[in-house]
Amino acid sequence: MKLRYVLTRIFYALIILFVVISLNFLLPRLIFTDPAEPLLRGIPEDDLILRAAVRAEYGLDGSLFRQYFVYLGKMFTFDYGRSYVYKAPVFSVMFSKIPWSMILSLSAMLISVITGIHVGARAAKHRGKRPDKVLLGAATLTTALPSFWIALVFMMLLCFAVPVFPFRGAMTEGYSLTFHEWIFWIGVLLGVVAAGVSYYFTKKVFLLFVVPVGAFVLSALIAVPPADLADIAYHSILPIFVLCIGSIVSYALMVRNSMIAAVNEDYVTTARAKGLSERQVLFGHTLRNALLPMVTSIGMSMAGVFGGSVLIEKIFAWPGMGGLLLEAQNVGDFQLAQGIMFFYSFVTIVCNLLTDFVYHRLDPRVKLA
Amino acid sequence: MKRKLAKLLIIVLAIAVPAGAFSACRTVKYENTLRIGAEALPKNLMPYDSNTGTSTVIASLLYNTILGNIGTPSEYAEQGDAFRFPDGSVYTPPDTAENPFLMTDNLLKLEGAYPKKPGARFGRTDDYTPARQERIDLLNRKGLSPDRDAGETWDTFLPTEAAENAVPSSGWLHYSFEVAEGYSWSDGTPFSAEDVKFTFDYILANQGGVGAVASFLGNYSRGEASEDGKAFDMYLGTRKTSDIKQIGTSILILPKHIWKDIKDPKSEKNLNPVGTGAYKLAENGYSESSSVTLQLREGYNPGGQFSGAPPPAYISFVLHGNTDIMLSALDKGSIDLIYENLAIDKAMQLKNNPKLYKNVKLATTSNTYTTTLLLNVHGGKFGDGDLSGKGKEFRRAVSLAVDQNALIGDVLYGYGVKVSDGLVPTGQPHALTENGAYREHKTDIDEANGILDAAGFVKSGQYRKKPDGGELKIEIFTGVHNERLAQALRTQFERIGLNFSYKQAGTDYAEVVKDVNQTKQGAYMFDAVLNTVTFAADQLLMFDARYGFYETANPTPRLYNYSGLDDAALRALMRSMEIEKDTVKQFEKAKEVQTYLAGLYVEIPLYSAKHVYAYTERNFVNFVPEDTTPLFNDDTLRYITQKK
Repeated sequence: MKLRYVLTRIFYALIILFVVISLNFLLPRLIFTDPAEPLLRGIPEDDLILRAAVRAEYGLDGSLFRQYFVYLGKMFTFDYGRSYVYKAPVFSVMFSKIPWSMILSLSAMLISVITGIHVGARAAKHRGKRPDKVLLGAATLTTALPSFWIALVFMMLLCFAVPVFPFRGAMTEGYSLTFHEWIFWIGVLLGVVAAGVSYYFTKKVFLLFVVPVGAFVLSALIAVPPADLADIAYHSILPIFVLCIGSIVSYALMVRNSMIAAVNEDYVTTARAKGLSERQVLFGHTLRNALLPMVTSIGMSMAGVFGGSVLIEKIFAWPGMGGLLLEAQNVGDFQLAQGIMFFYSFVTIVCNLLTDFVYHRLDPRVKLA
Repeated sequence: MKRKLAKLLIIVLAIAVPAGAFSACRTVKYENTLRIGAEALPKNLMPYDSNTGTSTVIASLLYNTILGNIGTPSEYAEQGDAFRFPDGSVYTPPDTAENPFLMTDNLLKLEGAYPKKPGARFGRTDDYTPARQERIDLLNRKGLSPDRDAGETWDTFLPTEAAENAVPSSGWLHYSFEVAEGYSWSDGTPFSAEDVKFTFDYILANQGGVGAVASFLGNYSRGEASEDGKAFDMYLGTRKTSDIKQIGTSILILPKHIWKDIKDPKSEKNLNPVGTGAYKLAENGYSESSSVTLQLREGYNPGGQFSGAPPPAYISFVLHGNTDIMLSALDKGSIDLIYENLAIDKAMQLKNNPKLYKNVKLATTSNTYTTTLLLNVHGGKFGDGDLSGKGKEFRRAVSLAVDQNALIGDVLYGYGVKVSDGLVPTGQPHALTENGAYREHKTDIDEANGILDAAGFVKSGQYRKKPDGGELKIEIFTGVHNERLAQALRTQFERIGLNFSYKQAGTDYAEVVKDVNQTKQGAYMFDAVLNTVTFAADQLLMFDARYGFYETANPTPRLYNYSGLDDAALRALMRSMEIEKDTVKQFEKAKEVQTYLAGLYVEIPLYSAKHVYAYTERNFVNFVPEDTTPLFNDDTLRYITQKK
């Protein structure tokens, strides 16, 4: 990939990030009449010294310009402030919630992608026939029905009418998560070493990403006792299922439409002319090209993997990031709200950037601007 | 082959993962647990966190205040002397002449809050004269000091009216309490008066870190604990006897031996709380954003509060997604009650569809909050000098047009009570009465039309014009939840030919109103707002907060005096009421204040909404609804038993 292209994209991303940081500064001040109001509750109106001290501590003193430059300085030093509700740095609050959101969102995404590809390919292969009609019907339904309604219906059916699954929380009441941090960090370290070693022998760049990520996930699983893991899995089945319903159909439709468009291409005709079986033509050639739009879609959805689904997490009382922004807004914890908005924006920008790079690697036809 | 293996692997995982999860699923840990559904849980176990309703109730189970509240069972209001508690015992209303703030013993004994009887060791004296430095310290704490630039000194400042009004030079209140027996901290340490003194000093030293509770100690000068820790003396730099209610029943007492080492309460989460309450945190009881479970301290029953069957061994506050989920959980018995009161339309839905949730019951309680229409008499259209000098007539007509019965029916679906023009809810010992009965708000459309006609507000088409012929349009500023009320009011005012519209504020309309109220241009920007007020017996100060002015060189309306009302006679009446030490006389003066206020027609009462709580008796019975409190209250905890 041309270095110039990479640097240009990074430069544009930084500009967008700067605009986002600035908007992130303004938005809470527009939403909250006085962002300092919740912090000053209980401090007498006459106690001007203490009120000024609290404002200074949270960077809310002085003119708007002064506050902006103080804020910019903190952004560059990764100081996102302190949540007055959680009584902890915003960073640590967010990062305690992200893994929980990832459990649902990442699982749902993996299942949705794999299933969606399979279903979409089948629908494309049997276009106009039953598999295709079922997919199109499902697409109409899932588009018309809001996700929270689907969640409530399944909850009523499978948690109350026929109590198969728990209807709330990530773990059974009375149990808390045990996480052996030392096991986790040893696993991550081993994963990084393994990535280096495997790249050294194979020279495959993708191993530098895949192996550490795999080690990260595996270490996280090993660091949790099996009983806790099973408990979390039990509680997550229904929310993941609900998240998958819409996503599977969405990905399947994308694959189906791409394959239908691709099936008339010259290379497909050539593949058929070479005598390849229909299966080989569809899955060996057509599908590979039909997956390209999905890469973009997955890239754009990555922010949601870290950020969680607000509605689903609220309905199932899942302790993830999804409800955090809503909660921050409701109680007026503007530092937390500000940190979350910045995080979402940052992840979206980075994921879009990576998607651009990956897309070019996958499709050499894409010319670099 | 590879593809078949991959398929097989996926199928095996798809079966094995859920199977493993199911097989390892745990049963709930705690037996004999009262489960309370909530839409928000605290993020820490600090005693003064008030970000959620459950924060305060959890804290009240873990900790105690120096005095307790006496609740009034809701059914007593209907049944009177026929009412009986679940164990058959009789409810005796407290003597409001002797105990006007409806308090009871807790960590300290109530007799310390009464005026001292001759020969008694404990009680209240009203004539403490502070030392000069004591008075200066309290003035400094209130942010008042001599203006050095103007050449003032303490000697010249102390005798001024401003200093005397803020901190009187004599007549301070001195309370002397005896420590009640049987209380201890949950780690076994005995409770002592030193803990009370420590708590008040700690709060004042860490105001920014303890939330709103610091404001209750605005007039607290000092406290003294006896050497044996069995007595506590408290000095308040005020003549207002209602302060004791806030201090006595709202400030949870902290263990000195734990909290003396907590230097920064802003950062403290207090996840291993040590309190004097009947409950302590259960093992693994705190799961952030999921549940909080408390365990009964076995054998702990100071004051004999649990005289019958023991209360639940565990109380679990459990986070839920929304009200519908909680109602389903309630119906199945997965939870026993919902902590927050139901929205009125949800309550109506349940009432009209009893088969929807067969096992869900509803309890209705009253509350002290009154919803009002507040008119701007400072910079708006409704001052006595406005509208060609007919401002008061106009306000009176607006008041007469308000039909409270219709509003309660249309907006609250019947879940509300009427309120007199005095704004104090019925049942309060100082509520405005006439001929022995609660004085009702008057509605008379014909009289209202007659007043407006006589005052020169002539109709032109559908709406009236000002006496000078100008267009008359009034805008009601309202929060996001009051749209239906605003619409109902608009319809009522159209009957007297007034053109009322409404404008919704954003997220925090109270702040907006406050800011709008004190704009630098000096003009108050709104015509009318929908407001909420409460004037409970222990909150006589609220009259001053709502209608008073700061006693400074350039007097400005008090923080919550949104209407900007500035009436010298009213201020004199309020002052006289606040410093009256005989509560019977004080409450008579409070009625004079209400009568005077009612005659100004500045704040027009609309209704007092009732609260509706949902619960089920699938697991526990003997819930006791109490006025002005949630369904989970002291009496419920005292009488609730597991269903056999």
